[in-house]
Amino acid sequence: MLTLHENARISRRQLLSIGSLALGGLSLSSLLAAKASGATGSANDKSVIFIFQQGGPPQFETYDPKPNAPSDIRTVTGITQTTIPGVQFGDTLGRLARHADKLTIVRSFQTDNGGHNIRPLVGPESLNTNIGAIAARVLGSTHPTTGMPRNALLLPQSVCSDVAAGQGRGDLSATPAVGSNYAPFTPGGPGPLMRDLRLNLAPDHFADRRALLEQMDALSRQLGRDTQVQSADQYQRQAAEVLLSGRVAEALDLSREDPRLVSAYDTARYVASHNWSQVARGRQGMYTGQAKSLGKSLLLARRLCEAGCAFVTVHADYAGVWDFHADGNNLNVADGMEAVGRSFDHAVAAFIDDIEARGLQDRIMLVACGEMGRTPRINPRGGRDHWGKLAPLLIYGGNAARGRVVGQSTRDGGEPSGTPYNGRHLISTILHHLWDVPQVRLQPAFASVYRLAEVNPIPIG
Amino acid sequence: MSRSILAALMSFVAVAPTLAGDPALRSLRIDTGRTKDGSLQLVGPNSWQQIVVMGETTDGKLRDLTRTAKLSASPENIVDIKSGGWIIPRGDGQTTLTATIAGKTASIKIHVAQMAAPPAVSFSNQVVPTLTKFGCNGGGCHGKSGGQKHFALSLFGFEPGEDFEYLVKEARGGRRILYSAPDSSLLLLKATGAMAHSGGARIDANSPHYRLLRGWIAQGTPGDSTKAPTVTRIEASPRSRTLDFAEEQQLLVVAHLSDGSTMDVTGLAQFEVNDRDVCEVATTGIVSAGRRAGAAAVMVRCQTHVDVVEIVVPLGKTIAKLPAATNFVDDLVFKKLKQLGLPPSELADDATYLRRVTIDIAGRLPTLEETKTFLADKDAHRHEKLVDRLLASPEYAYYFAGKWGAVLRNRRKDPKDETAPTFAFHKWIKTSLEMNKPFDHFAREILTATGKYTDTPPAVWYREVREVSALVEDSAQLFLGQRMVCARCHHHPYEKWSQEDYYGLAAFFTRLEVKDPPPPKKAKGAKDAPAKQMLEVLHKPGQAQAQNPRTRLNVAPTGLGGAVLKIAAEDDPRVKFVDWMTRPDNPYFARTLANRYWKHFLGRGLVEPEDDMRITNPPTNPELLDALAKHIVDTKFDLKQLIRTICTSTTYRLSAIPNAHNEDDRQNYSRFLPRRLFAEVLLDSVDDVTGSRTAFKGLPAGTRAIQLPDNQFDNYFLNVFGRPDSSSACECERSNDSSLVQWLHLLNSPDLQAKISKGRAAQLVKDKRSHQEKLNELYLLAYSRPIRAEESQKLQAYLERSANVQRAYEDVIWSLLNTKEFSFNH
Repeated sequence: MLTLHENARISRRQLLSIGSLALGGLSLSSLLAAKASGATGSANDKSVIFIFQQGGPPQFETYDPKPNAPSDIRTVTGITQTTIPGVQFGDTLGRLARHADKLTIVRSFQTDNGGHNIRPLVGPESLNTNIGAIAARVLGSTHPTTGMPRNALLLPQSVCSDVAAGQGRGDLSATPAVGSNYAPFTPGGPGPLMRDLRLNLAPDHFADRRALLEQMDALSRQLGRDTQVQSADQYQRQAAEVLLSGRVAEALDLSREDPRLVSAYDTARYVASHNWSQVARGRQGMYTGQAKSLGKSLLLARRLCEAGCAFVTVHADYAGVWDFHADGNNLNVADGMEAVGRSFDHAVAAFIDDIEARGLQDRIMLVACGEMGRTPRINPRGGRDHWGKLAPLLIYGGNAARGRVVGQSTRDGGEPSGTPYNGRHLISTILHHLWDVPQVRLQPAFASVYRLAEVNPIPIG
Repeated sequence: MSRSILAALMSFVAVAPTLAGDPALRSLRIDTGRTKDGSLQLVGPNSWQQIVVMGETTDGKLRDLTRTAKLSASPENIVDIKSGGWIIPRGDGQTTLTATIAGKTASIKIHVAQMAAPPAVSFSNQVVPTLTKFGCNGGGCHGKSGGQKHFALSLFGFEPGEDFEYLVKEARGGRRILYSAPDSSLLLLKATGAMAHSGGARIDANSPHYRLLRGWIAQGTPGDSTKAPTVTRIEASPRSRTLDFAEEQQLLVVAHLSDGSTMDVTGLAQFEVNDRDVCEVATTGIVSAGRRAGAAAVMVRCQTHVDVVEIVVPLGKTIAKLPAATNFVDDLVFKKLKQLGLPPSELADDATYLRRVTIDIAGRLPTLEETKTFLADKDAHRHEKLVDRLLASPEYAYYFAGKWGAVLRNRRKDPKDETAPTFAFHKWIKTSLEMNKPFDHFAREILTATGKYTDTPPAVWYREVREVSALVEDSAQLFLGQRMVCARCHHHPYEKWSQEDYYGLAAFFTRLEVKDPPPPKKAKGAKDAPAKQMLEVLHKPGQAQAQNPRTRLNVAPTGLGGAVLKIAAEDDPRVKFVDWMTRPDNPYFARTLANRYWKHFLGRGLVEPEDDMRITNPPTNPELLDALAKHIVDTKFDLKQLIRTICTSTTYRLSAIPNAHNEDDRQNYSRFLPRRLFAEVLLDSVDDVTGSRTAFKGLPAGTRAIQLPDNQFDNYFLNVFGRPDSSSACECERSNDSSLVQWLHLLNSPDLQAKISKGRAAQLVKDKRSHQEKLNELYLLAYSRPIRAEESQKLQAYLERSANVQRAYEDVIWSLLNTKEFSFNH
């Protein structure tokens, strides 16, 4: 049999006929899933968790502190040595520094954007469509066996009921390029799929209806083993099971986790120590909301990925928690790192501990960045302003190299020196992790989204 | 021959002298595909020959006995006989090869020459195909851009010149090729796995292929001289073959060279079958029939050349009686069914036919009135009259305008964009269908559209299809059924098309200017932004030509497989393209249309997918495709007549319910293939049954989903049920596959529940008629048939048992909508 490349025992012909086959419910998504899981078992689907650091985190106080730069440039915090020889972080990220030998840090990343929006998660580089929706267009809107939506969005209210309502900086659920059935599933939020997943009838009423349906669906039996009819039967049964069993609901239920693990993730302890009411965002409860929710969101994200979700956006849903201008609205850099950086450091480090313990590091990739970086020069009030030419980017897992620094910045931390990478490269990196790119290329139906994977990925391998 | 006996024979290779249980053998022959006057030439140690021993039994059946007959050569020292019938030359001279089985013999003479002074191994005709055969130059290995582990080859060996550079010139001084010790060349050590190779051991060191590569190195890695003969075509044999279940057939592949000589390339060719339930094919070219009756095509490739062998595995049942044929469609479908011994299902009843054809032509369920009238009609011509009525209805034009609008990429980039252009194009398509514009005129008006879109609405096609590559690829896929995209960058791996062909088509679209600037920004302080400049398509006079990026030479406009055209600078080359395309003898245009419409109505294209009509993807019923294409040309591209012919055929009227034999058939139209209603039709049907209409933002109330002018009206239901995005010319964007999310929605959506309870259920509760009458009406609405007595009794009991009648009616309607009888066209 002719194969496309040596690892894929799927012929082009098979691939092209999948649309019409649907044999026993076989769809491209399940085929790709089957392939993805070929090596190590059935639950081996790939996932990406994207922490979007709204507001624009500073590169200096995170992964590129520039200890030898003049004091109006270099990090305002202390500096800590990481477990990668010769590589230092800002000392707010002390826990991550100890995990640096598992991380890929990109020091030559830029978003080419100096305004508040949600690029590259949703922007021109993503066809103005949530990256998870792009991924799900190929993978299918739900996991073929668990029913878990492939694309999810976690906001603070997904895990906490007592947090302030958000005010995002763009439509995180935008799907103009692929249509609304790939829009992210937002636990605790609105959305048609979310509504459809929650059984909207009393269970005994639903059971009555199914019994009646069973009696009425005689033609289905007469049509015998027809592949299309069988596939419909199978999905109909599965949908009823998902509604009754609540496999998806189970994944959403944090009380099923070991309380010690929940507590290890929990970042709520960073709330009480400060009162940030001197700035508007603090009064609006945004820093508190992020601290209360971020750890649990990451834990929930992991649970969703285990149940078959392919892309989870974790977003504080608060405009500019990382926007450290030091003005009436925002904290200065030093306080900002305390308010936001501490919980970020804790949550990501706890996540890495957990993922390593579970051996999921090849399956799940974590990406963290914001819509931009911040100015090299500290402003007179102790803040840093918007900066589009360099932004911090962290990647962990999914076969990203462990303990690698990709690229470097100029001496003032203002621009990449050498090859720059931007949102397009990042999106391609994500899609290469989630898709079998050569197979996707052969599907004409995916032509419009495939080209996002044609850009070179960031060399993280 | 029974399967067990065949299996037993195969396990005793070359010793079974008789064919127990089989009719006696009448004759025996040895095939090579290139024997001349009873004799075969083998020149030099790097030649070989696959032979096939064919027997014919007294009942006229053919049997491949290659692996069971005893093979011998006399004298013995001229050739070696390898298992499976592979003949390798050993010494100069002449020998007679004889096959013996069941008392019959056959023989051919073999001449071997130049063993001591071998001719040069051909790089292009032998070395490169060997690398292709073993996957070395595949897209996942050394053939990918940049190669693998510092060793690059051209993809599938389509550029032998480049491969020679990589293998010989770049490797000079390295260990890849060692002239002093050919067996120690990395090329061979890696290929055999003797040295660590991530691609694994691919070539056996004792194989003729190894001997060939080694021989080429030992000769000093000769390249191809400019005078070296090239392969002009390959020919696979037998051309077609009927096999019993589990029977085998060795194929032969012969290459014809430019100097008139031939060579056996069976061992260098690649084989692939298009329906692996019908038969499988091994890398050796042995086809084995599977467990399912049907026809399959074996694609044979050797570098840029392709050929196809047709394999038929009949079910072999006697067909007691066939329904009466209505037209030529039935003659040709039934001919195939008789050939396969595959009895068709019975005719569907009138109610099923009414629902089926109304959905397929008008994209909706029949109304109560239509159903009652048709079921009472006893006119012998009621089916034809129904089809005519539907074709005259406005819904026909709407439904097919949606189908064409999607592949013509009539879309807004953003749902917020202005609707005027897509609405104009949609209206033009719909009007064209309504007035039954001949399809060649329809295609011409799109492909030659010139001017502002307000005057020439099909100019809107050029908004999405603007780059020359998009124009080539979309027009070829839409109107010629050819997917050209591979040939943009390299020779098409499954077709005869090269980059020269691609850029020959591209040249037609090089004198085109599309003006569509972005909308101007509103000036500060101004009330409104200035008006957007109108989309306009213009012809720029000048020489039409496109550069082939590989040869860097300009190519003149050339139709696929056609003559190079001379086009005056002032003429629009697109007109010449359409002239070529719509000629009655064009081999692609009418066939593509025939196949596309056949798929729409019968659920499976004669070629599948319907817009990928490669020569290596042959039709399941070529005669039928030819006849439909001729019918289209004869009727001057009359679309309504095409639909009439298909929908009034007996074939289209067959039941979807299988009989004892045709349940597995999905390719010969022995039964109607049930399929889920397309998204828009399903939504409209849900609305019709529940008595509530979905609202679409910005469109008048009451607008049906099939009337939507483009696909950018966001609607969760339509998206979930596979509405296309109109972002490519591929019909595959539209899907009627099932998914979990669809059923979650049908089973559990609050929106649907609201439609059920507020609409039809509330109405039925107030309705004074008996449950029996109301239930019958629901069945007529949803299924276009009266309710059966036992169904009515059960449901009446359910309604009467229930304390809450409204809720009980909601349950019944919910159940109706969730049956496959509702969501499927059957």
